[in-house]
Amino acid sequence: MLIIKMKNETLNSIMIRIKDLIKKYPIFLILAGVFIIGYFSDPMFISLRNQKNILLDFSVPFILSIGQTMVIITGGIDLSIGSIVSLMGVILVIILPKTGVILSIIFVLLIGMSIGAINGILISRFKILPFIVTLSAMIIWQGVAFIITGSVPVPITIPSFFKINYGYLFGIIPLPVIYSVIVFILSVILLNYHVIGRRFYQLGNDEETAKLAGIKVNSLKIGVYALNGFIAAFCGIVVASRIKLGAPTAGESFLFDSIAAACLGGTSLMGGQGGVIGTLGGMLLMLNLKNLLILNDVSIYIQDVIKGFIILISVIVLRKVK
Amino acid sequence: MREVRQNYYIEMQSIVKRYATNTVLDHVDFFVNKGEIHCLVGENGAGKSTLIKILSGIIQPNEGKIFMEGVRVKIDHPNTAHRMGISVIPQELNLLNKLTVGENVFLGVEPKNSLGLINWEELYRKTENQIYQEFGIKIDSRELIGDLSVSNKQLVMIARALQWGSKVLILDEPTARLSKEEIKRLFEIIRNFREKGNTIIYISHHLEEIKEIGDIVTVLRDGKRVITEKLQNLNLDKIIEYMTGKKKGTRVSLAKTVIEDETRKKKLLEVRGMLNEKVKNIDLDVYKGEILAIAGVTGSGRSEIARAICGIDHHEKGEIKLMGKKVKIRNPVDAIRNGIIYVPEDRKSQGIFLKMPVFMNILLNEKTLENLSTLGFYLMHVFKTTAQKFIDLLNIIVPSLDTPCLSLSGGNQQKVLLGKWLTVEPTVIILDEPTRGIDVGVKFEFYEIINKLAKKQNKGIILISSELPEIMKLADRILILKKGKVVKTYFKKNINEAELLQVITTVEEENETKC
Repeated sequence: MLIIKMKNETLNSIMIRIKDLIKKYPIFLILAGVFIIGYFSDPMFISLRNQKNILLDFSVPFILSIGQTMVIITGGIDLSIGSIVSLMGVILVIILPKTGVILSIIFVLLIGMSIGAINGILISRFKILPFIVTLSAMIIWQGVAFIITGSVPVPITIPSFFKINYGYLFGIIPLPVIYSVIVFILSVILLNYHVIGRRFYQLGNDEETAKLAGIKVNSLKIGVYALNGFIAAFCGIVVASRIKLGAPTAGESFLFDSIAAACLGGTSLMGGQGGVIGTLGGMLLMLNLKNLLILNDVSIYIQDVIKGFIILISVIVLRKVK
Repeated sequence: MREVRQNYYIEMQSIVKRYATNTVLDHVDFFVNKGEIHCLVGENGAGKSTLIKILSGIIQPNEGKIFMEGVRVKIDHPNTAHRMGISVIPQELNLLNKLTVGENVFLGVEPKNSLGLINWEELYRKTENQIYQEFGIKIDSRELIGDLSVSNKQLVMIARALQWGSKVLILDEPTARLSKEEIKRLFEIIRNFREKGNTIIYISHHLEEIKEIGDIVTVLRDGKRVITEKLQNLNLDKIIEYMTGKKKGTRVSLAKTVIEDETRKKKLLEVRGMLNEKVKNIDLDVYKGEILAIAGVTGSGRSEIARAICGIDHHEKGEIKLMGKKVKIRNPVDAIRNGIIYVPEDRKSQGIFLKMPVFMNILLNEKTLENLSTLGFYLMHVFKTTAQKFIDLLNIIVPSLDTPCLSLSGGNQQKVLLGKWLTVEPTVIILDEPTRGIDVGVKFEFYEIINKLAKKQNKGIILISSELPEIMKLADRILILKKGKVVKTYFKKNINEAELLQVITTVEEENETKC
């Protein structure tokens, strides 16, 4: 029944929508290319099991890149998210046995948010460049994480905490996937339909103009970094639950992927432009590519070289498309 | 206690503004009636923009009172000014280029639905309706600002001001980048705005425009108010006299000294078949001691010709001969080495390093630096004495050689830019809108300099200008461009300003139909 109804008009309108999407986010075209290459090099690649694995790997980096995208849209950058992820895991090791799961989570989220807010205050009130502030924050909080545990990861011993990562919704959908879907939807609404999200774009376009239009630029900056700190802390919790450890290096690898995904998705590092839908494409591209390389037994070092080139080439190609 | 006064809509009383020991505004009174177009004129540095910044809450006065509708007000922030209905349309339009027209118009006052989310449908619909109703033109409100023409951007600014409920519109040099047609449209919009009982403060260097649009004019000079008078009681010469404090006779002499072209003996520059995306098969000659003007509407390819000749833009075909010798110009460095220089229009982005000191800006080109240094090493005093020579030559007013260009007036910046290019001893000088945005006094100085360069120093000059009086005053020959092609060439003596205007306006009409 439905299929018959869908015939011409609906099909057409769907095609137009897809065309629009590709025009706005050409990254999906490249992504499709990767899928096609992947299918021919190893049919395993598009199997449900493999894609589910990718999706599990996908959640935390994607959520982090959403936060990063929002910061970049305001014309800033946040280099401290990796360190926040690590630090939160380490803090959890200490407080989980004493305060219980729920309170610990709330506490950690608040700390993450405060760290972000401090970044924001330094950037807005003291007028220090975001790059400098968050670079310092990255180094400082990484150091603090090492001070707390030493260089050795400490195991977490509270089984109920592991449900955060290993739990399922309706018994089939892994919770991390749910988290990323929720964060994604909320961020799309925030950026496109909420005044605050639009302020991010306006701020990133031209701070002076935004100020003259009566927009409270400083609060907005503090807000976006605090939000990003909150998101990073949340990811820290999920990561700790996943590896069952408080490891001071757990968040190391996330930073550059988050920036790369945003750039690939068309968010300009100059600010004021882009969005999380593009970031979704960027992150999917990077993870699928990585998976494809692993399936083809490419050594991990060569993987990095290829990844770097792909990012570079994609950005050049995407600019041509526009 | 509330001080209440009558009579004026806006009353700025005895305003004083000092920067350190420098008094920029010295007890200035500025009174504006409701429903008038009040023009504010004065040479650069007279204090116009300072006064406007005070009225719009960007800076605070040291002394003085402001009354609005008889009530004492304190405008301590741009937001306060907005709330009182005062909006500025600045020269550098502050719009968000990567966002849509609609979002820019409703910036800060976005319509929301019951969920507190932005109602995009309503926002876009309202924007289109409003722009259509107020200005009579259709703009796609989902288009990005960056893709609009300057004139449409300006309309978006005005639409935003109306959206904010402005009753006082301050326009700062609104016509600087508009074509004749667009100016006409803008004037209509301004008059409409006045008909509704609103007030306009209009700042411009173009006195003819002020004469056409204004009701009342206030003239500032050196931070003091000279006069406020109905425009119908003044003529242009009188206004210039108030602005400069000098009698008119001293500055018209130039028109008589323009030398008729009899020196068509030696070709300096010969361009044949210049072709690229913007420029279609241009042939062009410049003779020794000649000023060749290029006229045409914005977008006709005026600047593009210059950019192609100087190798800034690439050209597909075309031959350039310099003094009979064929030369290859692939980039600006080639052009400079061959003695062809281009003084660009947009001095802030294309010509001057604002944060660098004056003397470095004058010397800052490859050839001069090479000449003045040995293996890249240089002596500071050599630099400074050379720079000083050109500063004297062009009569640039600077506190010291080390002053950053940032703190110079527009006219002096333009002179620095010219000086920088003169240091390479050019044979052909291309000037793109050399007097845009500079005030009347400096303008005339510039005319004299340009004239001297051609007639005394025998340089070939290509003058690109949108001001017809300027072209009529300076040019020996006039090239008229349309869509990248030369449509006509005139000797100055064979055409008058009205005819020239007509040729150019017909070009405009044809462009219009294409849009």
